[in-house]
Amino acid sequence: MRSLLLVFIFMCGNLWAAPILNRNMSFGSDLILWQDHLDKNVFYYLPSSIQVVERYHWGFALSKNEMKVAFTQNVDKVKLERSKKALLAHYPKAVLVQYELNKFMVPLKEYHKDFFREYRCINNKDAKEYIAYCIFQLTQKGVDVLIPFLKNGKILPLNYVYAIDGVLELADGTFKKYVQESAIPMYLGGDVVVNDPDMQAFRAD
Amino acid sequence: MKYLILLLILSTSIHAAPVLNENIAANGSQVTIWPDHRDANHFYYAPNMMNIAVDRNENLKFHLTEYLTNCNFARRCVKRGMLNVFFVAGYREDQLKDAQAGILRLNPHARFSPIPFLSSQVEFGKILSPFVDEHDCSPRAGQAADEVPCSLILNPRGLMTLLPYLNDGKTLPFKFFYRISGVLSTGDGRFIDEMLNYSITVNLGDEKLINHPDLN
Repeated sequence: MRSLLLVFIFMCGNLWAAPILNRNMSFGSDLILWQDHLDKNVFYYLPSSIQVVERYHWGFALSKNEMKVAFTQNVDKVKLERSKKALLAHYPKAVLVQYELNKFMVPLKEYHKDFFREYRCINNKDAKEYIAYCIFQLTQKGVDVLIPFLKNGKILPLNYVYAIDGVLELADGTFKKYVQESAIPMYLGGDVVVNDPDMQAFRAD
Repeated sequence: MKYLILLLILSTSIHAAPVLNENIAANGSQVTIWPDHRDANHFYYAPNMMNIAVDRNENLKFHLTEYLTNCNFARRCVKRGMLNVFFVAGYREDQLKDAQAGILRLNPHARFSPIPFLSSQVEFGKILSPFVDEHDCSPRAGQAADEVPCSLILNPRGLMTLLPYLNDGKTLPFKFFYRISGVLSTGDGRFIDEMLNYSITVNLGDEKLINHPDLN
């Protein structure tokens, strides 16, 4: 009974499915595909960047001193298809799943304070229309320098810092829990911002 | 009970990891390729270069703007420059293909994947400190082919010195570090767990920057 209980406890630890973070199963492109440590047919991938959503999906709004921006996940579909095709040759039942990023933060650096008086970003767990919604209160320098910068099609990079609860494959074939903290580039700017009606209407005083 | 044990065995025996002390790319190759410690057909390759990324119009992702800050009562201000550059780790395609072709001649079933990073970061060292007030180059960068955004806040000296230097097509070296997890072969058929840090030397600058509109 005692040994059965021990096996049960050990199994419970193993039954929690997680990506194997030190093994890439993508053969067709430079995408990273992590295999699930319990289900060999499940593979996880991440977005390659986080970008501003177009206005009709919530998108971007600029008023005098405030910028509201919805961000969405961008996946390189060409790379994903190539990787999927190569993977299906070895795992005919393979299912590719976008890893759900729940824990996140968008840390700002000191120099951002030149442009932003305050900011707040909230996560959207649903992640269908947007993954993060940020409100930036602009300083006068933000209005005078950053907005023209963005209007010229340039990009202010931010970081979408996330944590993944995964496992590492060990030499003896067992797994060790591992939390990977990493960042996806988050692009504030680009064509969507340039073409936004609020940005088009913006005139520097 | 039997199913539980079977599941336990399956869950611990079907996977594998890169052997980090066995680079099997041909001698003289600048490419690193590691075998998998269980799957004889699976190989991992490491990035060996980092370039400034380009957008879909093939323009370099290199953006500079200058502005005044820290103005005093006499309205004397300090000039700063915000330089945002996006880098991407990559592989010299010809070298990688040559190395892979050599392995495929010996093992026609070989499959190749980029090595996944556990973490990565950019370090400028002290070379830039006289020219830069602050920099943010993704202390937590992403995966192998992700872009790494770097923001440099240039001080007046940086604006005076660094920008003409870059405009001449000259480069400033820095390091991109990445950490990977795998195993080491002990030479007697056994393996031990290992995590190792690797780095690539990256050049801030590019001959394509000569006469870049943001530098003029």
